[in-house]
Amino acid sequence: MRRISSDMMNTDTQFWLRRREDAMTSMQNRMNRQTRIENPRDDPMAAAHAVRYDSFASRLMRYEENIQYTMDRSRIAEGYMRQTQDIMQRVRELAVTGANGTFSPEDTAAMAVEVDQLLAELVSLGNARGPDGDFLFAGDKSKTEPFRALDGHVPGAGGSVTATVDYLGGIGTPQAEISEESYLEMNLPGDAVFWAERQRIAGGADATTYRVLEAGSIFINGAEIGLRPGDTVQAIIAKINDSGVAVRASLDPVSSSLVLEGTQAQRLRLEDGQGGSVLADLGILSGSGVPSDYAASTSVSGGSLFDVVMNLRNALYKGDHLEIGGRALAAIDAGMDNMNRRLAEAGAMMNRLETASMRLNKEIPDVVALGAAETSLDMAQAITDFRMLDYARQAALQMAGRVLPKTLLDFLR
Amino acid sequence: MLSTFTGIEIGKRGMMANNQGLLVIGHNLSNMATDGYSRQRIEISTMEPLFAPQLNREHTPGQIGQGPLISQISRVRDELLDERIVAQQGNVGYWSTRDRYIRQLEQIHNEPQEISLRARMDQFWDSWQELSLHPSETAPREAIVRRGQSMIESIHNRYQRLSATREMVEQDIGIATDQVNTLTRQIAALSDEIVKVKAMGDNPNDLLDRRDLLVDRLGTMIPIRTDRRDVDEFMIHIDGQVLVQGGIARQFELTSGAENDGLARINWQDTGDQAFINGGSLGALFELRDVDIREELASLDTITLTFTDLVNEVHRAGYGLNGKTNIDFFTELPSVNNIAGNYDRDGDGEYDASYIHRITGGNRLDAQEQIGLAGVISLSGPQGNIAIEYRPTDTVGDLVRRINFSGAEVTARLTTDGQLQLRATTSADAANPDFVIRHVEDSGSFLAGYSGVLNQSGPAGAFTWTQADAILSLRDGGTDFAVAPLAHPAGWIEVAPAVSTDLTSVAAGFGLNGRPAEAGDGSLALAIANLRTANVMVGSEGSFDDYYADAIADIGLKGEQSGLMLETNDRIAKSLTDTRASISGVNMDEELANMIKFQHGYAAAAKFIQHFDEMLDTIINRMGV
Repeated sequence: MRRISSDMMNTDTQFWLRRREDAMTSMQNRMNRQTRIENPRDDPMAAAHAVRYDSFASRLMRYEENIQYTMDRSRIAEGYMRQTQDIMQRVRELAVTGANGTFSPEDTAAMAVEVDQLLAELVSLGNARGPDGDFLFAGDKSKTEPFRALDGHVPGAGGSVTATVDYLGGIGTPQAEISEESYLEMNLPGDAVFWAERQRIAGGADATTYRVLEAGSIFINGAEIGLRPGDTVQAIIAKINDSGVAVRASLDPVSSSLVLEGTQAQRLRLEDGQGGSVLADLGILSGSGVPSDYAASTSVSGGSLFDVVMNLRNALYKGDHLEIGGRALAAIDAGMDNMNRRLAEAGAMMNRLETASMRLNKEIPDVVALGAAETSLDMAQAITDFRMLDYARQAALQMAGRVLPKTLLDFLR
Repeated sequence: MLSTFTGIEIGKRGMMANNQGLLVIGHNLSNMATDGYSRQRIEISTMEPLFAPQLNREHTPGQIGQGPLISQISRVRDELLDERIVAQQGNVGYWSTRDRYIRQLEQIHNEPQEISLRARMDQFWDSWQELSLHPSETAPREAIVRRGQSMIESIHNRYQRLSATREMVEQDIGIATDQVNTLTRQIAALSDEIVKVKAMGDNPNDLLDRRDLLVDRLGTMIPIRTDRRDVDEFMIHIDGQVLVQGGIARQFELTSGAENDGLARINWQDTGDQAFINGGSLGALFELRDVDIREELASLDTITLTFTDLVNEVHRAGYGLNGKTNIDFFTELPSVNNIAGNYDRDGDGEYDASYIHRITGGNRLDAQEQIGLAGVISLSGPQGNIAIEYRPTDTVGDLVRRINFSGAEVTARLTTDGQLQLRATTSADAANPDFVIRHVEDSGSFLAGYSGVLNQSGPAGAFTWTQADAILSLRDGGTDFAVAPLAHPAGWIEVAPAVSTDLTSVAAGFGLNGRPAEAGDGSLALAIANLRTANVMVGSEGSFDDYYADAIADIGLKGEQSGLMLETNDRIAKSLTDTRASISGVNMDEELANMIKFQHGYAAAAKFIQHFDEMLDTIINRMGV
């Protein structure tokens, strides 16, 4: 351009000053908010990534909280389980002593009184509460006392003592999410921890001619097993055995009725699916709809920890040495065995939680760092850039100050 | 023989010409700061000299000059450059308006920060996790309800801001259209004046400057082309149509209709045809209103509807602490007031359409199972139906993915129970309602028998929305459907009063085998928390995370583009206007130098007259006879 109009300098200066000011304000905003991305337009891809990292980090922190809570709860439950183990040790000593035939019925009666006290202690351990008031061993019925002791008359007791201990807890187990779609039970159910012997449920009716009439299902230990019309009892047995529940089904050779045996020491939870009555028709359940409410003709064997302790106590009251040293002692051993196994299970859960916690301890800072890498501002660079802009602005203003340069007018007389 | 007073005449002419020159210079100098002013130049030529070749001429050597004459006063202006500038102004107007509003839309997102909608939603999911740890407590339920309300507030807030922005754009459109009409009328009036002045043989320089300024301003608002080929008729074209022709200015008018949410449409006032404005700030306003803001609202509606639908679906299956079941967590929106979804679209009093948002099949499917059937599913798409083929070796999961990637305006997913669920998305065409399934058809038996959605295959069994009671083509028994919302869901959603007044209604567990959930059963809380990362198809995105990331990247890229384009076009405009200033702008030194020239010329002419006067004086007064 060979010709410059007089106000061009002014318009030019204004044009560039406005841009300088805009850049400076933007930079100041970013420094104030410590973020490189003032608006999504500053770096759309980084903003999208930052959003994902942010959500991910908050998810991980939630998993950490879940793990912490579950660990605390497990630790407390484990403590109670160890106390139970100690008490069972004392009960075993009493059983060994009582099996000695040299004691008289009065002596064994005295021992029975101590066993009775220990039983009461065991029941209160079974009904232990966690820090937030939930019952630890009640499954998902966390506000209901899981073990209910009922008094009754026992020969030789001389008064009313605890005759039965029923399990009233839930059959589901609450779970917590400790990692992406990875769940862990928050406690072990009371009817698995405080159990001694494997259960055996034998139905009372002949099952050879039974056929399933409508499609339905049965629930064993919370697992659903689907049944189709026309299934015979053999098909039902095959389905139960293939399903992976800790139960072995078979047909009793003598009475041809359905027999279910647990493969580990826990209470079997049986119920018919909604609207179905297969187990009731086979003579196992009473048909009331309550889980594990057995029919009158069903034979149920395999008791809880409380049952074996009550057995020992009753035998001590009677002074039956053979019984004490034989079946009672064997049952107590089985109970302690199961408790050991449950303690190992609880320990393994703790291990898993600790591993997950350690992994999160590393993962959370990593993810937060990745998010920060996308959005955080390099303060040193920002301040330097700001200084440069300021310097350029001052130079422009100085130039603008000269907007009235000397013209020809100044030189004419 | 020449006249006695020829000299004085010559001097007089000289003085007047230089005087006139000074006037023009004075005009230039005082108008240095005037917008749109182009410097004017006086052209001085000589008067007809004596003697012309004619019979009655004086026999003396000639030709004798007779002094200066002003031939014309012209303005220095490059009209071709003007046309280029007008075209460029359209771009500048478009991008500067667009940039301003896109910036506002970006800010509505509030990302990436803790106060965004996404962060509130994250907190909502988190509170369900808390409930899963303590399912029997009421405190976590309180947290859930409060956080749900806070998230709803966030959604409402965003909806209101988007609506308010749209209102602003609508108002701007009204104002801009008025301005355009005013400008065209003013230009036409000036053209009339200019033609009259030109007819007199004068140069209407200032009027032309004023008209060019108005044309510049008009060019910022709408994309126009000027046409000066006909000197008597100045024409402005837009989009191939005549806007201004000489003294006639065509006007625009705004009409509003119910088919566009009550927003205005721009028409030519004389013919009533729709006007298509594709550039300039008015074009940007229309595009912002009808494309960008509409998309933002659709996106917000989609996430609101999907989110509340999914949470409600899971929540209904659970049991609260008080044992109640089948309770929705979020209110059902004001939707079509007919159980079968029948709606009267054209307002003639008869049902003529079915507004169904969601169809769930009755059969349980397994995502890994091979279908074993072949056929073609056709679903409604942005323009017509989209065909999706399936073969016997495809698995159910494959087909669901294929439907979701097909570009149809219907998405598919498998619910937690394994049922096939078809949901409608927002529609790209403003004529079709949002969240309404328009067409479902299957030539094979996948949708009919296999998944239990339709009654029969083929066109006869197709579900089409343009008839009342279209749900009759859905299979009986087990098939579930939901009617579509009529208003924007984002403006109406609330936490259900059943839940907010009685916290024990918040369900935490599913219960087992049809029994109500126990106090410690947290399975439902976990299922709802799981929705956060599950691939639940939010519109055409997979999960909520995908949706948020995509939304922010989308608006960020729009902002980046508009920022860059604005700066680019600004620079181009600046270089063009600088060139114009170089040609037409006033340079003080140049004017002052010319002023000296005319001053001296004037003084010389005056001096000449004085000398001539003295000469005449000698003849008149001193030659004594």
